[in-house]
Amino acid sequence: MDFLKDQKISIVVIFLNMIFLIFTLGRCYLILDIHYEFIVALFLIGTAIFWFYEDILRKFLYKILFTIGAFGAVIVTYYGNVSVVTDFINSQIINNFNTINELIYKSKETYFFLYKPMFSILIPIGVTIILLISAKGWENSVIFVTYTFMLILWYTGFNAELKPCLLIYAFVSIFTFGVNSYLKNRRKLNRRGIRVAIEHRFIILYALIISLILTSIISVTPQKFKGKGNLSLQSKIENAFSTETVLGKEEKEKREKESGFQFLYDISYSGYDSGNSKLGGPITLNFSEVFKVKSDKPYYLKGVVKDFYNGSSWAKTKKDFKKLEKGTNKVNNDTMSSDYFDGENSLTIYPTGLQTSTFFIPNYSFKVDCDKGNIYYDNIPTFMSNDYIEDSYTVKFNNINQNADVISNDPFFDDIPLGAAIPEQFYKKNFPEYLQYENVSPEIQELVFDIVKDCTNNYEKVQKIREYLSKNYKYSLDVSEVPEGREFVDYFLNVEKKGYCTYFATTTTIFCRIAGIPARYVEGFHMSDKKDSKGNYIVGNNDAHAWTEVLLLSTTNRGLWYTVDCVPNVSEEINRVKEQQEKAASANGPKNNNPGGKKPEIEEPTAADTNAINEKSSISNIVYISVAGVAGLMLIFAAVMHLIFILRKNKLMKANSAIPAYIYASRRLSKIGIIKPKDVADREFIERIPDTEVKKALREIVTLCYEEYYGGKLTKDFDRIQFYTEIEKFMKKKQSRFKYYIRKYYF
Amino acid sequence: MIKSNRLFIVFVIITFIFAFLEGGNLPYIVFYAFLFIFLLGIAIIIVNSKNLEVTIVSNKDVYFSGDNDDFSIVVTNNGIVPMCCLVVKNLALSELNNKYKGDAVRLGFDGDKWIKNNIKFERRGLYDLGNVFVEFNDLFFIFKKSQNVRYDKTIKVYPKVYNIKRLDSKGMDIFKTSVSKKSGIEDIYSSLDVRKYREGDNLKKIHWRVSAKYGELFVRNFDVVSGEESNIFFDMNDNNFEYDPTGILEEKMVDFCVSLVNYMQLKGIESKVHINCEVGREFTVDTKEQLNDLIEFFVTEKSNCTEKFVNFINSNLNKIPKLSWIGIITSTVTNRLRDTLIGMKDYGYNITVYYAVETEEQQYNLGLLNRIGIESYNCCDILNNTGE
Repeated sequence: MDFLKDQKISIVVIFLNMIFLIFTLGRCYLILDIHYEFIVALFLIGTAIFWFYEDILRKFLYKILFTIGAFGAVIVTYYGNVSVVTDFINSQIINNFNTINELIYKSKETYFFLYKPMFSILIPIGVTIILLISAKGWENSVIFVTYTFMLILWYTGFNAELKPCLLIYAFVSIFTFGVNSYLKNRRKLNRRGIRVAIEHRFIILYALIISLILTSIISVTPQKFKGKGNLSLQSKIENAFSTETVLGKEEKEKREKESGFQFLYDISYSGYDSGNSKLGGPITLNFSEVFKVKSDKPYYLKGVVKDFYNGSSWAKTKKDFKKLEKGTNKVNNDTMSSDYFDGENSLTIYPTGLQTSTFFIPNYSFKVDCDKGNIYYDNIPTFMSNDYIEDSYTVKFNNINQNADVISNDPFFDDIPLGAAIPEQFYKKNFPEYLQYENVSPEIQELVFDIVKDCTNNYEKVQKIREYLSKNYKYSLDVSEVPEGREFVDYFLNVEKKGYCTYFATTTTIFCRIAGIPARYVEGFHMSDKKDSKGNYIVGNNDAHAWTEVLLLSTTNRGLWYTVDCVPNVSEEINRVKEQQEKAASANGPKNNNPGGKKPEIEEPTAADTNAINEKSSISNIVYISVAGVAGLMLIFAAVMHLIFILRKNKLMKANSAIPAYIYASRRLSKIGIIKPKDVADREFIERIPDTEVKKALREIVTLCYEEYYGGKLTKDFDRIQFYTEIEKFMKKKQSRFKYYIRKYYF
Repeated sequence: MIKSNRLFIVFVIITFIFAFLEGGNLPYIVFYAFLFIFLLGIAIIIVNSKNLEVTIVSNKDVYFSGDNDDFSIVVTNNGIVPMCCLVVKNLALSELNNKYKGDAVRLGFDGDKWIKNNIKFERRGLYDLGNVFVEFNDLFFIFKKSQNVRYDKTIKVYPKVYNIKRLDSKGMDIFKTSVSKKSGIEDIYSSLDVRKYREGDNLKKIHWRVSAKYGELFVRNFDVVSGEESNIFFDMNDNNFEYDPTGILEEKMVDFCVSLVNYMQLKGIESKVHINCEVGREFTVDTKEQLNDLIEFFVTEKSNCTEKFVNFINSNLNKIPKLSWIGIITSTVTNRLRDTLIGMKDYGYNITVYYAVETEEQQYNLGLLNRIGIESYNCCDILNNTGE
């Protein structure tokens, strides 16, 4: 067991790395229900095998013999029970492996029991090998193994899952490296014959502190740089274990596209809809920048278009995206609206804060140019990528010759399609998905019919719906939680009676659909006029918006999708509400005006944008809090010690007796090594002190102390201040300034 | 001198190139980890080298050969950055003790450590204990700085003066007359001790009263000898180390020489010490101060003379009156020395040989010398018999 005691630090460090790897693997492969005690048991088995090899089978010959013997036993077992072993390997290992592979492909969760057989073999063997290698002087092999794993995970596409773990990885690796360096060099010193008097615990603590400090520094360094070379390792790594190799290329492309779906934009990323994947509810907005836009004017930038309404949320039913091949000039040759086009235009978007695979486009876009990643488009068209879009991209779109494709309060345009002559069946046959609605009560349908009863065409209907909603319902960020199971539009109209953009957009869309007008719900950003110094528009999370698009046809093959926005001045509203709240807070103190729910939170710009970034900043927060906590404790300690010093000095100065002064002097002198041995009397000890000034002062005080202590004679005349000054002068002479002050007040 | 781990620097460069080409959080984090470890290492080394202080503390500054004592190397860190591995090696101690390779300690911030070592001064001389070699690293052992630190600490080791109680002489008394210490004159009525008559003793020393009482001859043994002088020839030829490269025997010879002179001085006999050293010195020792001068001489003088001892004796013999007692202190009696001594004996000198090394050739020579009345003794045995 002494052998294991010598190796204990190595073993613990390797254990730490292993646990980190399992944790990271669990995050990337979405492993449910990891039993860490099982992992620990496997680790202990590996350690036991290592101990057996290194401590029991000490000689190399014995090790070889034993290994050969073990292999022999395995082979004999295999040939003795071929079918059993083969079944086991097939069912427990190969099948599980394939199952895991497929689940990971589909970004689905995997289960720990699938990994157990493989772990049972790999972990003990792996741990034994690493311990053996470390014992031979290659301690840092564990860092290399961890790094290799991280690289493999990184380049097989788990960037998003790994990002929150990277700081922990840095901490574990730095700590491991520090401890290993110490162990290695300690062994070298022992071999040199040097007497080593260094305690392990000091080094481990020191390594912990240094690792924390370095990790904190790393957390604030810039890392989002793109590679300048063309290594593109990620694209070179393919899943060699895929069972669907015949359709290799197609499957690869499908997989890439599907990976983009997980990063599609949703307005909850910007803080709306309380992030619960259902509409409405209290919100957390912020003003952090998401991207900059170089364009001629502000646009409505579509992110995602949703068509299916189930009563509490919107969903996009069709995800039939096609890949945009290089060299394509236009997608979806739009003959229906081409009459209304008035030349081509383009804008460029520079992503800064938002991490999404969605391209934001104005209406009637026909192409997106982006350097990195694949671009996919659907039939609307909306565009997406297969990964986070971090590069800038240019969107080409058609200008609409009517000066606006937004239905607003502006004057009526001549050529606007009114949609009067198109029969209802035409719409139902050709645009069923844009007329769908579920769980909407008959009362609401009645209401809609009532609002549009006098309209002669679809355009008028849309205007009436807009008017109705704008007049009767106020824009507000201060809303309550929508109860589970309650239909959203009904709740908005009859209970809440106020709301933000998603409320209005949903209601407008449903009303239009009830009125027989194809309508769809859009989430994206409504650019404001805010520009930066270079003239680019700044778009922040506060510009996130939801609106409706309605189809107005003049003939069966001629018309436009129009943007309908019941609350176009959202930015001003948000700023106004924020100012009001700030005024109210400063005038009246905190007051909850909303009986039903939480107050909307409008935060100042922070670093938090998406979930991934939130997690990362929470780790940074923990670091900052712990550092602040430590600093606070140190301050309190310093204050307490200072107080004690002042009390002691007062006691010395105010006492009648000389003894406290002498005790003070001897305590101060002990700091510089002048300690009175127990077998030496005070006067004798003083004679040994080298400094004559201090000796004189002490002689005097010792005499007084003796007189007082033995003779009961109280001090008559003793200049305490002079004595104190003398002692402190001596102390200052003997120590560096820093040490002097620390020793005087604190230690 | 700062040494660095070149492999680590190569890794810093490789990780930078990889991060630059590949981009992304993971490659950059790895690069930053390497870079900051590197920078931190430099910073720690620079800060620590300014804040390290070394002091030597010993109980005494003066010892005698054969003494051993503890001394401490006090290392102090005046800064706020801890030193996790500080190697300290006292160069003087490592020369004296082959097994001593140094100590490795750690120093907390603003802390000190007293490294205790034991030193045995086998040989006389001046020892500079203040030359200390230190080596320290950063936590990750990327950088290592080593330097020699000087502190003023010289230890003087004198030859040991043994308290020889009695010089054996087989038969003959070395000195013809001995007087009482107190009076300084021959006093037949006072004596400190009485012993049996040995052949060769001075007849004047016979204590007649006691002899008459016991029917045997007894002589008075006085502490002090009057009017005598002794001549000692001491060989510091470098062949003293031939039989003992460590120099222990040479040290014993020197110790014996000073112990012998001390014995003489206590007895009131003036000693003339002729030393065959590089320059050829002669010391006259009659008082304690003169003995101290001799001892001081030996502190710095080692046996490194190339002049043959026989030649030295011959060249100085004319200064010595015949019939005087001559003590020859040498490592070994060679044939030439033997012949010279035989010649001296013929001239009438009273000679005693003190040797350090036992060899076969020498045994033969000593046997010859004994037969003609020249006694020989092993000086190490004499010192051992003092019980010190």
